[in-house]
Amino acid sequence: MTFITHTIVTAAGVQLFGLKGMDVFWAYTFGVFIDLDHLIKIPLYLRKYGFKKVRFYNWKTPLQEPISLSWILPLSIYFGTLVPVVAFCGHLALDYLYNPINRPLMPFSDVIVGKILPKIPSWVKEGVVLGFFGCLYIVLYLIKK
Amino acid sequence: MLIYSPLFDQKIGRLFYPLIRVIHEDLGLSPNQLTWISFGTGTLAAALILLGQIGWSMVMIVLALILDGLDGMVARRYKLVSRQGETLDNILDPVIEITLFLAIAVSGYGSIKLAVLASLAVILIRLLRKRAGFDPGFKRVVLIFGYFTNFNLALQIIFVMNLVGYIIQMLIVDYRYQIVLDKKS
Repeated sequence: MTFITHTIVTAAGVQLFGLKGMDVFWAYTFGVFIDLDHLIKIPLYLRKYGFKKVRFYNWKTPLQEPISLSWILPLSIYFGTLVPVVAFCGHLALDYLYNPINRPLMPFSDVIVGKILPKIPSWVKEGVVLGFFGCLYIVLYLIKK
Repeated sequence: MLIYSPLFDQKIGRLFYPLIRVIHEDLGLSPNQLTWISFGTGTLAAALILLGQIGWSMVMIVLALILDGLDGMVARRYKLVSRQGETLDNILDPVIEITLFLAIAVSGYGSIKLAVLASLAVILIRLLRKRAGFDPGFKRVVLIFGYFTNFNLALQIIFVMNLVGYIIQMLIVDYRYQIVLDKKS
């Protein structure tokens, strides 16, 4: 999903769980900024397509696949907080609603799985998620204020 | 640090050639035998930690590290590199590393949580080591640093460096896979 959707969902999560300090940092790192892994594939994209816009290029790296729980879970235990795992699972769920091709076990296996609820168009799913979490964020913000 | 550095073997490795000759030609030790001796030395180091002989255990760790480096050098120098030897090295090295971490924790020199996390990171980095051709190498050497500073700090460094190494390995393998995908499509 888009950067905006991930940011709003994470912001709502931060409000909902009343996160503070380092937990906010972890929530945004694993809920939003983990998307920065796409930058790694820019040279490959440019080499293949130049500046032409191509939909559904495989931008994702294993850092955004369930296999990454193999390092995020130990990291969470090390820092004594479950926020990285929860934020990452949230990010993962949104991406799996949207992306048609996912490789959950990459680089150990290149098995491909499709998206969740494939019959519903991705833009509808994104709209519902954005609307729901956007409203939740506003309501929580007003209550706390 | 790469798994095998040709530069190391050509330049610095030459310094060890007389020792390698004595080990292989005079003593008749094969690379696999050296691997097992290194494993035995490492196990002895773990036992010494449990007995509270931490200073002697560090000496044994240094000895095990030297032997661990020599087995590969002997194999390459005398063209004895084998899949079996590589597998043996890949199994025994993490076993001894984990044994040492746990011995440190059980003896009260370090925390159990950090020892388990460091062990997990060492297992993870072994999974993609061969395919990625990359291993940061922060394992037993860091324990020696821990002896002079703090074992908990050493275990934390081992955990973090190997976890970061594992992430880098994932990215290396995926990047190569993407190149193949791009060529196909």
